Amino acid sequence: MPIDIIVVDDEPALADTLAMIFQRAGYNSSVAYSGEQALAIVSVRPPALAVVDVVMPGMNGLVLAEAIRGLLPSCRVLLFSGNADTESLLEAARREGHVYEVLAKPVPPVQLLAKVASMLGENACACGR
Amino acid sequence: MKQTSSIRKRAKSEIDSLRERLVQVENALAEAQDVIRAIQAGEVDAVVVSGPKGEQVFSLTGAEYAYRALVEAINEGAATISLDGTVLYCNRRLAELVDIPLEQIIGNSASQLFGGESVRIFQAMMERSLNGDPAKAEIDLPWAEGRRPVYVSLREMNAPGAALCMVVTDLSEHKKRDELIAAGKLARSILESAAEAIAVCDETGQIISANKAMEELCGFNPLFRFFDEAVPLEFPDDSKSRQGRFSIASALGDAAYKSTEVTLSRSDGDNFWLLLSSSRIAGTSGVVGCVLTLTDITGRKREEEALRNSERLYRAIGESIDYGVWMCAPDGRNIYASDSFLKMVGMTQQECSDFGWGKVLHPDDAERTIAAWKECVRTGNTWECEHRYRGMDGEWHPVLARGVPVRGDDGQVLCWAGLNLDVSNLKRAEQALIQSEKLASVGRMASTIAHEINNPLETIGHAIYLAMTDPDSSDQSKSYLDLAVQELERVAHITKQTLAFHRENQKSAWIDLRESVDGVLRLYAGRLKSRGVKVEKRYSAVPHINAIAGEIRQIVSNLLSNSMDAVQKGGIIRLHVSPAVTSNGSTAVRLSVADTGSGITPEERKKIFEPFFTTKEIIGTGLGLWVTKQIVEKHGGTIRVRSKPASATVFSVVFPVRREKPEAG
Repeated sequence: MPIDIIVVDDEPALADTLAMIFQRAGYNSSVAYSGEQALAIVSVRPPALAVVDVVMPGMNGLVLAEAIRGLLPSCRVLLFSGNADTESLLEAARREGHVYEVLAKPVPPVQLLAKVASMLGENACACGR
Repeated sequence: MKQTSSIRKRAKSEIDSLRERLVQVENALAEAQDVIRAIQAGEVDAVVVSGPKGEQVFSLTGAEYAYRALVEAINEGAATISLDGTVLYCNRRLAELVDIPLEQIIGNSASQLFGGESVRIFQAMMERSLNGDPAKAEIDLPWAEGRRPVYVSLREMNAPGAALCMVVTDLSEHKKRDELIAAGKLARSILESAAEAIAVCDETGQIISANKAMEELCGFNPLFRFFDEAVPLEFPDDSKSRQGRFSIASALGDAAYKSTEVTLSRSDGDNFWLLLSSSRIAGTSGVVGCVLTLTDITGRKREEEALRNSERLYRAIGESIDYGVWMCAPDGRNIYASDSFLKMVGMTQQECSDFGWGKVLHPDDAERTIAAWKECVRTGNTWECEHRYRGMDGEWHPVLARGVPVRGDDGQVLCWAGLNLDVSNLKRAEQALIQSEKLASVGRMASTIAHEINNPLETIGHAIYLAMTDPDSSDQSKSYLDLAVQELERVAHITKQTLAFHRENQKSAWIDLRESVDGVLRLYAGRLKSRGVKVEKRYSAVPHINAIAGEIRQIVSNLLSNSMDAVQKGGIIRLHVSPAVTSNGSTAVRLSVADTGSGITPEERKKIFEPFFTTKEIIGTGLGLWVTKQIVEKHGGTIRVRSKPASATVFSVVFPVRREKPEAG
């Protein structure tokens, strides 16, 4: 069974291409363009990992990450961001005891795949070309 | 015969009678001669003259005798003179005064008493007095010892035979006495009123006269005490010619003192600064004593010292200010400038006084400043002017000059005094503030742009990746896509760096600099390989440093990427991590990044740490080294560069091993 990954980013092109990359890497990926949309999807189809943009209109990535953790304790969350404001958001989250790993955009896809693979554990790596 | 006999008898008696009369006449003659002599000698008081009218007695009456005695007793010369100028009477004193025997005066011309020039004066006086006006004059009489000044008074008199009476007063003795009295008085009054302490010593050094000031100086009356005991004087230590104690013997001997500085330590503890002058008193048989004058200059000395001290103080204050204080004469000529100012512009005081300061003004400021200064000197207004001076270091130093005219009691400008303030720090701070303001806004803008760019970049990255991993893409396409990836990396690098310096605070930790360098090297491994750049590492054992890991990596990354840009293909970058010591002696760790690249020119070296300075016109942000320096300094470290064009460039960063955290920022 392929591993489920959800990609959440308010930029459809970014989210779609990333989902395709995961797909090509052998994952079963789904896409959401907002936090709210993502919550709806994960509650129906729980992923093993969520790749979430931090700065999004409406529900931001951190709020979504917390919600996912509450909903699916086994789901891993990887944040990525292209915004300088991210640090202050993370600092606020850290103060509440939530620690996340954040990658800075742009992340070379190879690096991202390696990161995801390591987060999911080598056994779960479904690399395939 | 009888008749003959009677004739004989008569003749004999006649002869006898004639003989008798001859004797009588002879006697009378002798008597007359005696009278004349007596008259001439002034010995007779009365003369009886027999004549056809019987006997006449010419005698001095009793009263006349008393006057005569008085006239003979007085110290004035007196004489009576007839209308034709013959001396009728003259007293002994006058004969003495004119030094002519009395017998030769009486009956002779009065004019003969006066010689030479004085004859004319006397005759004029006679004429005047005969006209009824008394005549008085000072006349010099010829005298064996020179000339004798006399006071001559002529007056008409109503006496039989005599026309004028003359009184001659000897002025030479009068004068001498008056002068003596006056001189004595004068000397005493001068002595007593003198501010100087004056003592007269005899040849043994005993004080035989001392004025009030001397008594005050001693604190007691020093009369008849030995000078050296009463007034123990010492020559000051810094005296050039003399040393030790003063001895009166030297003043009596051949030593001359003229305003010589001496000190007096009184037994009551009071100290005086004095000026000593001495002069010897010469007697017929050598030196009989000396006069010593002491002028109290203690006040002046103390004022001088106070002045010196206050001058020292003001000088110190002046020198403590960068470029310090200055003083100008009323005409605007500089008469004093602080050493710090003279050093800065490399000028002597003399050169500065000769308006040298005008020559080192910035060409844009010189005309304006000099004109303003002239105007200020003319009007006496307060001086305030900002201008730049060319320093010995080749830099222009902005100086704020302020000054005021110092006026005397009469309102006249005595001098100008003021300050030169180094405002370069202020200017720099101003500049930095503008710069940082500029930077902050640029930073804000950059971060916004970066964010906007990062998402598309991410997407492009995805697209390229997808294209590359597409089974259908040809090798040719893949090589193009590789190029696209590389260029994308560059864009990503720029945006990351732009974001990085704007990033918020991070936590510091104890980190191993070698690990940070290795981490960065891993990141750059691909690029280094693709450019054919070799890295040589040399690590020594070093202590951990308290730092923000991300920022240290940023430093390493910036230096490494600069070196990579500088070296040609096949170049070498040497990375050294070694223990070091800071300038104040504390433990530190050094990272040096050396490359065999194109080198840095001296002009470039001055500016490389400034923001927005770049030699990499297209790809450089001009922020790398500036950010690096900021981070290094934030960590309390220092960064230095050594380089020559077309030669090795070495960046050396020293981080202190410190307990406290780097300041947030």
